[in-house]
Amino acid sequence: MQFVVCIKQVRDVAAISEMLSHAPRSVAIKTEEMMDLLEKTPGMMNPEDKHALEAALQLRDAFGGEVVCVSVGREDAISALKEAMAMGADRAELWTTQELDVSGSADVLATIVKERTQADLILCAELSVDASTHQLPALLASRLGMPYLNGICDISIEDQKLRVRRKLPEEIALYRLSLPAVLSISPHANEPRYPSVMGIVRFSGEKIPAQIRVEAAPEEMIKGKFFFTKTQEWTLLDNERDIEWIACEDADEKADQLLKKLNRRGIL
Amino acid sequence: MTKKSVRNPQVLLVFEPVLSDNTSLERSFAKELLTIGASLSARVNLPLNGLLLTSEQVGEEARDAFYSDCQASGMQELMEIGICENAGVGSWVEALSCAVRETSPELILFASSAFSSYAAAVLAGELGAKVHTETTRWQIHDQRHLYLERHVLAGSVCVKELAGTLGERVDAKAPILAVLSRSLLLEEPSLLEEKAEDRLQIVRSKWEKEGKTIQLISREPLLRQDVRLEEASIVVAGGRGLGGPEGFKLLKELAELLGGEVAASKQAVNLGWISAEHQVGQTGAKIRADLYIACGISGSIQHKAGIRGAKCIVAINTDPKAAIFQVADYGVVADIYDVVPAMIKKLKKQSRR
Repeated sequence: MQFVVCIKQVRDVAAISEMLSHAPRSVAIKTEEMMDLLEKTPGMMNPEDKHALEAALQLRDAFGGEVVCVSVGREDAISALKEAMAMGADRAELWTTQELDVSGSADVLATIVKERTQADLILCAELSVDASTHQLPALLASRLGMPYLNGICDISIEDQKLRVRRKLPEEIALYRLSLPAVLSISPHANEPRYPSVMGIVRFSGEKIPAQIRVEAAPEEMIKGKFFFTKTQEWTLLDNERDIEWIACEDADEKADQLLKKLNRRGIL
Repeated sequence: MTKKSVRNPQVLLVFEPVLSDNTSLERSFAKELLTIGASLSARVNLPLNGLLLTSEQVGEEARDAFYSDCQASGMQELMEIGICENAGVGSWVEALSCAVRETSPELILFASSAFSSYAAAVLAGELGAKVHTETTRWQIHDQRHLYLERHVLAGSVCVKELAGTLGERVDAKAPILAVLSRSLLLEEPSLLEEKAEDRLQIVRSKWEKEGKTIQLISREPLLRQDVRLEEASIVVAGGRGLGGPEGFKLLKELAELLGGEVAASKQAVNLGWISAEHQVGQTGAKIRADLYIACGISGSIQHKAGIRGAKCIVAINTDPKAAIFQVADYGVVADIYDVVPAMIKKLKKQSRR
């Protein structure tokens, strides 16, 4: 069986917030400045994707077959794909583009899946930590005409049918789906493995390994589907609060002070 | 492929499905969604309609209160579709999609929930649209241009963009879909007190088909004691600084004395110290409590993204440079195992008095 995993190279959100930490708050930023900032920010594999990859690796080990990673985005996504290879994926396909919006990404990924894979099952993360639109798997599934279910914790396959456990705050349930299908994997489904030492040795360095195929996405496919648009306005959010330190000597006093202050604020 | 149909200019509100065990109209922000729907549709001069999936078991009292809120919002038509509880989410979203295709609205609004995030995304795929997720603010320019705001990059930046122009989408593009964030829903004061002219029509139908491609095998009943962090008014959370699972016993004692819930950072959950439903953060619960006490939590950007909605944040950590202090209202530089027992002792003394 072929298990396809969608991998996204995201901007390192912690690094961005660090870079922005000295900028004045609640101030508008021009779209060009925002593009520039993202350009400069280091990338990393979307951490949530690792749960999808781990699920795929476990399924391959149980049912046989291969794990193929697919990705769309800037060329630095190669580093995320190298990491996926080091974790145990068999091969990867990257179609390079500028930053696309979620429907543009779904269009390109659907084309990669159709033209470069024989997917039996497509696994995605529940969200990407940078754009967090929560909809790529659903859009991808609709373009491929496959069923889609989210919040998946457990997967088993019997007679070309999927049996999955869905766990969300409002529902714990077992569902049956036909293959091929798209699933998004709950962050609580598994504990992703670390890349193996052998894997790191094999897939580090400048060279693009033969298992990762990189090509440019066709222009006409991505026209008008960019993440950045002319109508956007960006503002830095002020999330910091003025802190009051409870600075007494011993723990008893600190506890006492804190509770008194909370009482006075009417919270307790 | 998406069939292009002539659009009925209207704003459609999609409510959380009402099931016997876990949803009530009140808890699912139906009134708040109506409030925003009413003011938005009035601004663009479009009729307001609603869509409710419901199983038979809903109490009459709750239903009547909901109808009168719909009436007060100036709603014209409420489609009420009877669904089968044991058909599962595949069947429910098909019912929703079928109804939406018949009415073909210009704008579809949802209130944030696990269901609406799934349903809106599936619907968007079918309609060739995309969803404006977790909308934090809306604006109308020139009575027709709809601008929506949302937070990206783990809540460090806000982006506002033109979602589309209303009133002229006839026979053209797919509808605009937006899921409204809880903070937006709770922000707008209810305007439903004034009685609008009663023109509400309720159109009832049934959808009893099994899901075409997604079939429910079984559902587990949700337990009453299941953690409801997003609704708790006081939350005591622990992180890696607790040093081990036994630290959560201490936090539980404190939480119980305060009448609150116990929560955890992703790190503590990953270490296996506490179960995943306790997790707070970008991929866990979003806290809106009056008081959030972070014990031994360093404060990753993903964690901070989950606690922004808390009214008062107390951080207790041995490291004065921990990032959690940037977002705290009160900071205590101390060992959890010194301060928390002292707090417990004081609270016990108070309650005896």
